[in-house]
Amino acid sequence: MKSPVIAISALLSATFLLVGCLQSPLLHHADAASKARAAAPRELSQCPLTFSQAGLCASLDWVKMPAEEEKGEFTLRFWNQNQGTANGPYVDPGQTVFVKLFMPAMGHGSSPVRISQVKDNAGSSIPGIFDVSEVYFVMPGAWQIIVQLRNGQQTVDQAILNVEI
Amino acid sequence: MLKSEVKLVAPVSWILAVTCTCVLGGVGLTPSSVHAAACCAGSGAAPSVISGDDVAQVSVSAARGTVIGDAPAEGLPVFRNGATSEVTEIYLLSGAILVADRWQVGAGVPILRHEAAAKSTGSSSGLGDIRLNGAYEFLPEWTYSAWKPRGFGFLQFTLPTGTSVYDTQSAGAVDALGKGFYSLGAGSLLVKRWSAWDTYAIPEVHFSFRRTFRNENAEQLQIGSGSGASVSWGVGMSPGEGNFRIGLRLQPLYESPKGVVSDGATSRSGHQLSWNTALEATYLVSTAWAINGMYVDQTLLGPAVNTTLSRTLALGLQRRWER
Repeated sequence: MKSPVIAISALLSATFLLVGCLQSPLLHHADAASKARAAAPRELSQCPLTFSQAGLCASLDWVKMPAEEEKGEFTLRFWNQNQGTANGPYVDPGQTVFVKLFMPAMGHGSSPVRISQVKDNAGSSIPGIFDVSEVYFVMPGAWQIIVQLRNGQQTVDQAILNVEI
Repeated sequence: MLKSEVKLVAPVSWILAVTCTCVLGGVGLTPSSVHAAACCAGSGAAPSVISGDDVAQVSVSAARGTVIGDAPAEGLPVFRNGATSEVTEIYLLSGAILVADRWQVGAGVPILRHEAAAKSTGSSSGLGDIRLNGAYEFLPEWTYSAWKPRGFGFLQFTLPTGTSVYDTQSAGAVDALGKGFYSLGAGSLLVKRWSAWDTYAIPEVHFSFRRTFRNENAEQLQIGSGSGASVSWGVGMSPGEGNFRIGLRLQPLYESPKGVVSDGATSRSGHQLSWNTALEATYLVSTAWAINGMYVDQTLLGPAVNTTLSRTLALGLQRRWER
């Protein structure tokens, strides 16, 4: 009888000790409500996303922030590193634009996004401007938005934007 | 005999944390299996082991785990708001049979349903990771001892039969129903009982093998090998030495970092650490039948690192055949 009492006492003591003194998530956490799922603010540098091989810059502007309840959407605009600015003129990157979401700490990504070239009122594609939708992050944390320029399956150049979700 | 069976039924525990599966003492309920999170579904689970004087056992269980929050690699855990829920239901069929006096083999087949209430995600269901295991009773209890436990050593092989977060194609990774790796685990189950009281421990280590994932865009993601470990420690009591047992279990779970190669770039994921705190209850209906219930909470103990935090409720039914 003595041993079981010691065992359960030790287990309960360990539980209370761990809950009270260590970093119990229940006692030490933030609420999602006070830390809304939101992407990082737009980079204000002259070349927010740099494609050094292609000599291009790009900007990423959120159309709709991803939230726990719904997918997000953003716009990518490409311009020549030496001849353009964030306000234009925008140029076709000359390769297939590909975007993926990746969470380095967990070693996994998220579901595929949808990429389409923005069209004007006449239905013609606007060079250098892409709409990226279906943006959904599996869980909160530090994520990367990886923008790639691809030739077939080969990645020619890429830029990474770190975001805190 | 009755006491022994009560003891045996009670202890089982989780996985992956793992996984999500706690098969213990012949219960088959797996708290771990209850890793509701897309990222962490199905890590390791305790094997199905006959720990009583039976020749075979079959268990069915149903578990429902809800993700409460997410613990980042650094910083405070963030509890999700009430507007969003992520739930994993696990229906597990497991069994074990003696193949010799002290040798046994077992298996567990989980069917999962993963659901995210977010507007844009939905739900997915299907086969999870199948587990095969073998065990040897290295510490039989042939004579009474005040201190020597009954001990089983086990090996467990996990097949990545469920879609994982690494090859998900759905928003919110709701189609992630498995861990994604072939893994081999080894551990032991030690059980000791003193009249109405009992205690058990399940130390376990596992190794997952490197695997390359390819998605519909022909992209390759290579995840390197990794290892992990967990230790379950539980105590319980049967009031009046009767057919009912209630117990408490603690279980820290650790997963090592893994190498990641994506588009030729190499990186390394962070380690994962979580703690299961479980309340277990078992009722021995007869010498052949037992029902059990379990509540597992990952938010009570910490630190929690780089993982989701869930609360899980599981119910199970077990049929045993005596020797």
